[in-house]
Amino acid sequence: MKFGISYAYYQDASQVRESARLVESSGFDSLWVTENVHSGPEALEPMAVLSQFAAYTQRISIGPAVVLLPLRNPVGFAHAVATVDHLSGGRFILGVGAGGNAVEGYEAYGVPVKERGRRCDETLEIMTNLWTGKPYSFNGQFSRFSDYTLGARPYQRPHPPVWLGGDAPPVLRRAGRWGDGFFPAHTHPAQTAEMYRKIDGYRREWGRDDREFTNAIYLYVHFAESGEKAQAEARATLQERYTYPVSHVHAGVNSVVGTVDQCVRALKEYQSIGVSHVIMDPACPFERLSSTVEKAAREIMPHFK
Amino acid sequence: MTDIKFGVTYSERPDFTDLPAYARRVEDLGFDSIWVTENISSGAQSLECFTALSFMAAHSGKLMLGPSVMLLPIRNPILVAQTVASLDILSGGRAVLGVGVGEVTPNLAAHGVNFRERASRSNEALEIIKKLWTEDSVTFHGRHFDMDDYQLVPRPVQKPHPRIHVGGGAVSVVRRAGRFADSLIPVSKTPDEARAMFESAEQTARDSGRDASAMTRVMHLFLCFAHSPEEAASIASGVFTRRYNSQTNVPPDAPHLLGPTDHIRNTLQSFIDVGVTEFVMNLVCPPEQGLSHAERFAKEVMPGFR
Repeated sequence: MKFGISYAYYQDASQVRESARLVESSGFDSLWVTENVHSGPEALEPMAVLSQFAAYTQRISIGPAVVLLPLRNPVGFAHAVATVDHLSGGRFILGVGAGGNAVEGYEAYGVPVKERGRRCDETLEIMTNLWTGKPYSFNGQFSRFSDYTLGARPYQRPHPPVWLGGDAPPVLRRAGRWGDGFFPAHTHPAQTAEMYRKIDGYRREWGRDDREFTNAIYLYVHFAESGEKAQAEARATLQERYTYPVSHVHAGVNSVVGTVDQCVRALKEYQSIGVSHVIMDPACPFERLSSTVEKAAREIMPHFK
Repeated sequence: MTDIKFGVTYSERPDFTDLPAYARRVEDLGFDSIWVTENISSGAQSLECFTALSFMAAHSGKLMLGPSVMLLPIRNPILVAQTVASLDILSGGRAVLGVGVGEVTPNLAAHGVNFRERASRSNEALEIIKKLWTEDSVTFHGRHFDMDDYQLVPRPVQKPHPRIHVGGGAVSVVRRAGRFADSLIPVSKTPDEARAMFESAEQTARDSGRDASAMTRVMHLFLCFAHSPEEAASIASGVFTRRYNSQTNVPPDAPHLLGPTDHIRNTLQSFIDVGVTEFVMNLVCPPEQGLSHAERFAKEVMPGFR
């Protein structure tokens, strides 16, 4: 099982640099940044952060977990993804989502929330085709153009892996149609297994079941000497982070929050249902990020190698 | 003598593996800034500007970093404000926002922007971006954009905000620069034409109740060393034709830095004489020779202006 770290609350360049180097040198497989639009404090634009991850790391995969795809122009974003894929030497994984709870900023961007699913579908179709490097025409609900060639083809061919985040029924269909991976957030193992199974079906329907596909998951991580303490601390951090209530974020088997033993047990359950990549979001202030990263690398990851 | 500032561009490449070394070398050579040209659809591989600039921020410590220029009408102003604020934070206050409205219609069309609306979209976008950078809560109701109480976090490091360059040649560009920008950047203009444009932009700034003396005069020029202006113009024409995938002819007498060292020095001086204090030099030599032309400029030309 592979492990990644996802974090977004960096205050300056040195925090980005030190964290990126620590995550890579600790033996993680991937490094991610979340996007928050108008729903939390101090989150940097994810593609700018990922470009710096590309500069500060050499080995690990990097990607957004997730970028809010409906807010991005398909053509411009396809170009940005291709660029960071080059700058990272082909280490980019594109994690996309439609927003989940974090849709407060959508109206200001001029994107009606009810259109977000259809916009995701169109954007994935457009980007996938533009990345071939051939002139491409599209006539859809939100975009119309003809014979357009993107300025850069991605480094990876045919394109960087696209992972869908979320857990709503349309997301599962989208993952089957366009995805190279799927990572729901904070879902229980049984529920997660059911979603993987549904996506397998959709992939067969689209004739994509012969392609490589990654079953991943996104979970909060926080350690303490007791499960109760870990949960209370994680919840306090998350309530400061988000403007919406975090009552749905509870520890147990839908997170890596607890004592080390509890966390290892939870992860074994995910491993048993076929999770091959766990992305851990440290539910802690930046000051404690490095200790969480080091502890996860030292005391959790060896159980899964 | 005023210290004249010099910056160079990074443009199309077969691949981009030279970017870290390029940024470091440009900084070591004493240039003040590095710029990414935006060319989303082209005949040659080109980088998206903001991701490339953020990457270069990690490979430099002093260079100012900006697009030269990016197409404003194809972007959402909130995303531009957020991205440049992030670039400013991640570079320790080195971001510059260079904008243009774009002439290349395929890009506007592919991004769903009506060609006739590019100017009004740009004006609204600039107003919104500046508000988001400087005000705690932004309400805006325009033709193209609409928001209530939007708060941008985090805001840029530079106060009041990163400098805004508006580039182009049309009358509307001059007015836009006067209303919103910290610098107007004329493109492909003679010194006299440029002076008239600077003065006009500064007048618009005064008419808009802004401090025109805070505006700096920046010039965008093509740079290619060669034995003669004719040879340089011929090389540049080939580079442009590949870069934009359409036949382009650069006239040898164009007011650019095309030719031998003396010619380049004299051309720079003619712009300094009309008040230009900063140059953005767009390298139009073959891409693999970019660094050698930048090195030659740093060695043979820069010392005479500092």
